[in-house]
Amino acid sequence: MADERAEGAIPPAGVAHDGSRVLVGEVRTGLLAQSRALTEPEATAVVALRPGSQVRVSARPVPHCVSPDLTLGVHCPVPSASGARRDGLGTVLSRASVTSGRLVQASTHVRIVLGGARPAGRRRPWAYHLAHPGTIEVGGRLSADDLADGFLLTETGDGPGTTLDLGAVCGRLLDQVQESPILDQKPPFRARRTRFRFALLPCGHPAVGESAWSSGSAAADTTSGRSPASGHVCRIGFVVADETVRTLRIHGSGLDLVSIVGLCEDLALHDWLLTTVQHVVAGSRVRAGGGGRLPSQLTPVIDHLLHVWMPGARIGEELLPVWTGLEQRLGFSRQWESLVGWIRDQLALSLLASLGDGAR
Amino acid sequence: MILFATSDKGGTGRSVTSCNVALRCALQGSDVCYLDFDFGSPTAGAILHVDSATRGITGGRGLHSYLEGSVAAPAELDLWRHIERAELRPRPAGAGRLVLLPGDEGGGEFPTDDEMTDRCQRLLRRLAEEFELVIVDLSAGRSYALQLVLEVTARPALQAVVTRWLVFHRWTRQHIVAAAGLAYGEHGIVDTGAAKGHHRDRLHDSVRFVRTAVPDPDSSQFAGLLPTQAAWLQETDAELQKLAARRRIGRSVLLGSVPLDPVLQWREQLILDSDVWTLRIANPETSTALDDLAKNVLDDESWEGL
Ligand SMILES: Nc1ncnc2c1ncn2[C@@H]1O[C@H](COP(=O)(O)OP(=O)(O)O)[C@@H](O)[C@H]1O
Ligand SMILES: [Mg+2]
Repeated sequence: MADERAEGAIPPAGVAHDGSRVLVGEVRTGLLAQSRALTEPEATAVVALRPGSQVRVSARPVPHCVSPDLTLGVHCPVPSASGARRDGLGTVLSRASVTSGRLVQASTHVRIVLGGARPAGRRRPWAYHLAHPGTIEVGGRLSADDLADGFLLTETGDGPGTTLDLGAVCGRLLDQVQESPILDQKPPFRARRTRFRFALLPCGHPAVGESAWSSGSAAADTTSGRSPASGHVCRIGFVVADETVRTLRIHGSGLDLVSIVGLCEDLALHDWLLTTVQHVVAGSRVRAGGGGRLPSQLTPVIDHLLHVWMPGARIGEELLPVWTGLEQRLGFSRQWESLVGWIRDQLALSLLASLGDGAR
Repeated sequence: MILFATSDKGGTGRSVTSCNVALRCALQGSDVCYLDFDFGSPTAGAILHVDSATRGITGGRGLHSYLEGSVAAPAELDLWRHIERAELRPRPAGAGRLVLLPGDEGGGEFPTDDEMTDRCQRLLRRLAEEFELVIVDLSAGRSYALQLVLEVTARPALQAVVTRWLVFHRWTRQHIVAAAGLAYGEHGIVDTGAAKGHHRDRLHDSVRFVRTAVPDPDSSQFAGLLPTQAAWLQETDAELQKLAARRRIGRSVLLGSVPLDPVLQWREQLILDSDVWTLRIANPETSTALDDLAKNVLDDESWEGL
């Protein structure tokens, strides 16, 4: 698959400085290992990963169950593109969710506080870190871009070594959900998991490979003039790295971190839908035209996936413009509509063919 | 489906045949992945024409490293980007995914522990979720690798996943006896599996056999034989058929039979249409046999209980 990049920018609004925060995370998305859609109580049970903690359930616009946040303590070097080894100490947060009783996601994220006021070597007690879940403090100098590049651009988060590996944490959680005894392990078809890595950085210099001004782009700034709140996005870079890995880099300020994670989960979900249906359609296009019969691979997609498409459904007011801007440039909906259109045509053709058979 | 490829002896043609089956299943549109669990001699990369993994991969990201716990996930090579054969680039239209999980160069056999078993279980379950066909090429004989997968497939998390067994053997007396022994004999697949909690009859019913490098007395290859030689070949073949039937590895559990092929005899490789029709070095019968085997692998009917 070719690289897809979407960028928009405003002039750099100041360099990242000490004490800056970078949000990094990964979302893995897959098809639930179950022959039919889970009911709400079943989906709730599957993501009830912490006894005594509530699962968040919403029925509309698509059924969605989210596990309580799981906390994991970490003390290891954080990623860095330059190879600088800077120790981080704190906790990362993970959660798992089931959408439409069909799709399963695990997501892990952490807010990394860089080179705070604390002198290197002077650590806070664990109690402090436990009181601030989802935050890692890094001692010593490390720039936000170095960290984000290291996190987003390393070939995979599964390499050897002891560096903070959010992908591994996330993958384990997804495995755990998929191994639930509630599931029958008989999915209607096979689908690859996707990995969606994201980083939210302060507005600053454009990183290597990103242009500050995407010349001729109508939507240079995603939010200006539209978002009434303080949230502001300066620049966005989305890359389809290979068949299963995507990276999103957002430069922004004043954004609510929790909702950014939600936005990324929603993007990852729709990217997975697009990727999966594209793969099935590509396979059946070659075989189509056999007497107007519906290629058999399409049936499960029609039955189980088409109705799940509901972009931005769970995105808060504040981030809706970000989502819309991104969506327009990535063309998710355009691609989806063309796929669905093709599937509908095949369906219509097969109906006509079977009517013809009946008349004969 | 997870398909375990086994053989009692090394050098039977297990890896070469399995790699060709993986390719053909993918060409027919299935999503396939291939795991090189032959830790002592990870040759899948060489057979699949992946230059960077001819004896496993370097860098510590192979299956060996994963099972040992030094990496969180093993490397996955998209073969449509790595196979060095022009006919297969770019990915042929309509083909499914084809992914190789290579072993580590210089890995070697190793005893397993509980954590390794957990990792193996997690990996196999995930791949069964992502791929229609997961082929696991196991070390020959009653190896650690065989023990390991019999252990994990007996666990609740994998019990619901369809798992099947192929035993590869050459068409000789010794190989027939050895293959039957590996499947049904003492400390064989069924025995060991039952001891680890598998349902004995169900496990027994999920084993099929593949004959490799089978000389076909009727083929043009043997056209130059003396009448006495031809008669002897016929007789021997008939005797071997009887022996196989007596050892319960006869026609009813035969999934495929690959003829002796001049190309495979000289080189471990994929047999493509161009080898048969353009270069005219491989026999068309080999290609047909591999196609039939691939079809049978994917056909539930050929796996139905006896
Ligand atoms: N159908 C065949 N005809 C001739 N030689 C074959 C055939 N199948 C395999 N071979 C050869 O037999 C040898 C052993 O095959 P290999 O797949 O490496 O065995 P194993 O994996 O069982 O150890 C290789 O040289 C291979 O090319
Ligand atoms: Mg081998």
